[in-house]
Amino acid sequence: MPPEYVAGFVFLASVIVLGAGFIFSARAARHGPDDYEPIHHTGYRVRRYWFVGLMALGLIALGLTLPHMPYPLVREPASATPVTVVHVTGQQWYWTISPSTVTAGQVVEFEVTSKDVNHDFGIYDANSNIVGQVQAMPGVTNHLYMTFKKPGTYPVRCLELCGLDHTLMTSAIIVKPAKG
Amino acid sequence: MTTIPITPQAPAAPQWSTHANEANRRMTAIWVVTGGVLLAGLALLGLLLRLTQSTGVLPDRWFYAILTLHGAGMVAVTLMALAATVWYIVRDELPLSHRVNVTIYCLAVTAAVLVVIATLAGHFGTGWTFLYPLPSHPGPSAAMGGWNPAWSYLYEVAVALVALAFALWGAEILRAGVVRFGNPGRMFGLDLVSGHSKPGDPNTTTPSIIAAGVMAVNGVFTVIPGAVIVILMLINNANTSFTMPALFAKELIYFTGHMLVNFDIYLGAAIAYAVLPAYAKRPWQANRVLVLAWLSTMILIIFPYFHHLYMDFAQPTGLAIVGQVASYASALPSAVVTIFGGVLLVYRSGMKWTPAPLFLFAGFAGWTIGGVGALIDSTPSVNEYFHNTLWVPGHFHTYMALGAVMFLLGGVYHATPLIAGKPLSERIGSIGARFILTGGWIVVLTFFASGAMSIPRRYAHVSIPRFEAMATIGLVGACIAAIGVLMIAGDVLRVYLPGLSPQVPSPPVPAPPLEEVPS
Repeated sequence: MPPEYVAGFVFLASVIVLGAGFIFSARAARHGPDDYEPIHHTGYRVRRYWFVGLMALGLIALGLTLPHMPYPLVREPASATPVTVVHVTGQQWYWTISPSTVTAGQVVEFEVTSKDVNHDFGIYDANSNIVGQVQAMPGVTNHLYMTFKKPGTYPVRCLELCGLDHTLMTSAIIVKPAKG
Repeated sequence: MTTIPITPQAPAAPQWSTHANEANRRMTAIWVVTGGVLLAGLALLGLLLRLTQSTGVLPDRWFYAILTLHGAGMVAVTLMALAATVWYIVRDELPLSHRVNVTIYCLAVTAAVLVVIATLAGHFGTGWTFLYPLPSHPGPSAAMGGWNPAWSYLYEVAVALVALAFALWGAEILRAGVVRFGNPGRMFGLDLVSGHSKPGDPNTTTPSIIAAGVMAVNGVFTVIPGAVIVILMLINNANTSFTMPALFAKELIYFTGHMLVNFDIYLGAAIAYAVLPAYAKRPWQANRVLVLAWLSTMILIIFPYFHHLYMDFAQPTGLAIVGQVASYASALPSAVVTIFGGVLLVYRSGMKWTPAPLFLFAGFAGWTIGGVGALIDSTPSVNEYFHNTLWVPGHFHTYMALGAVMFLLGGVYHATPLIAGKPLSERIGSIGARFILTGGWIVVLTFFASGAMSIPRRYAHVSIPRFEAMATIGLVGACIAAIGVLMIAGDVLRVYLPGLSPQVPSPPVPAPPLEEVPS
């Protein structure tokens, strides 16, 4: 399952749980009025667990996600690993990608920059799901490491509003099968 | 953690003067009418944007111009309207200057006029974030349909005016707070932290004043980076051979923008602190935990802005980690103290869900669920897939439209009898709220689902998979919400416009009283 779907389902579960909590609270608020002192007293005890629970959830999320950051510090392969370098330049409103054909299973290093304004180099798969992105910024070269597992055509879109014809700024990466 | 004894709200400070109160009332009425008309109009422009994504009804140059107007307008108008409402709420506690209020209003209205001209007359269409150097580089040729860079001046000056107006608001809140409490420490409740005062003691601060004070401090210093980037971009407009590092410019823009958006929601909390107790008939006092939560927010609000630059890999990775940790940490004070406190306050309180508490409670839900969506997106390994997709408008519409604006409506419904001399219609408010909440949640959940499907944000009409279908579902939600928006906006005009006449005396309608609570 694509990572964005996983995150989407985590969010959906949160919406259901939190939404049910707020609806329950709103309905419970109609009852009473009860004496606030014991509610307040119990509530402050519950709040301690709420605080510790959220802290624990945050630390778990950090532990699970930090190792998967998309940055060169994490993704740059060992020096012995062969890397295909692809130069990408954004310009209103087209991409220059060289070479635009890479090999499945091989590490690709996209060196991404811009000649004019900010663009966002977004790579999609055949199912129109984002598989990777990095900003194309004038005067800066960003390095995105990716490994395409499946051969095929990967559409490229600009994801940063860059002027009137922003939506027309498209291209593609061709991923050919690995030999042998 | 010890249980803090419950006592009635701190006694009200002296009323500053009848004349000041009448001037304050009229000024607040003007704010409500201006804010109400602008917010309703901007919301309808949002509907037009979704209609365009669904059907292509607008040409692209109009789409991006209206997108810019809608985004910048919503952020700024909500901010200034919330600031004006908080001003009204704390007016009896703090000796605020009417003249400053008028000045802030003039600055805000001037900014609104400039943005309207730049976008609707000049087709300035960078999006509200006006990333350098796009304002001075609209494209290969303005004749191809982009904007003339000259229009950028108006927009950038408008941004500076909004930041200046809010800084002025902040400076006046801080000045008045120090006058009222004698020193900043007591204004922020440090006497409660040190144990020199107890919750409910006379002359202790209130949660609304603490929240307003924290936003005031941040507002005052946010104007500095805001002014720096606007000046640099104005120079770049005048002479494009003057350049600056694009990453530096982006840092300044997103720092300023991030702070201004956050002020919206936290000012909403200041309203909830003051108003919700009147309907729950229970006190919501400043205490040690609340003070510490807000003081930590004062710091934590600053650092999450790095999450806007996660996809700029040239930004040091350490700053991305700071962004993630700070984003998570900044949610804690809100979730543990304010939102939990609000739910606890109403629990089995015998609450009648009239429009004011309904909007406030809905605001807590929007703030919480929008916050979860933002936290997911503030994780770099997830942001790689959600950055610049419709997930982003998903989370900010949730905590802005269904959070901050709900708090604003709650405050307006509560205070209208005092400001306008008669209440807004409960029936229209209740029905309108249901339209807004039903339609609003369809809008935002469609944004989230679209983001999870990798649909880009800020795209005019385009033929890519799922784009039109999801925009159409969102459009249905926007139409439902628009019915509620128009109902409530119409009622606001019906009630407020006659009261803007200077002959109308200040109406002595009291807010619902607090019941006796155990001490």
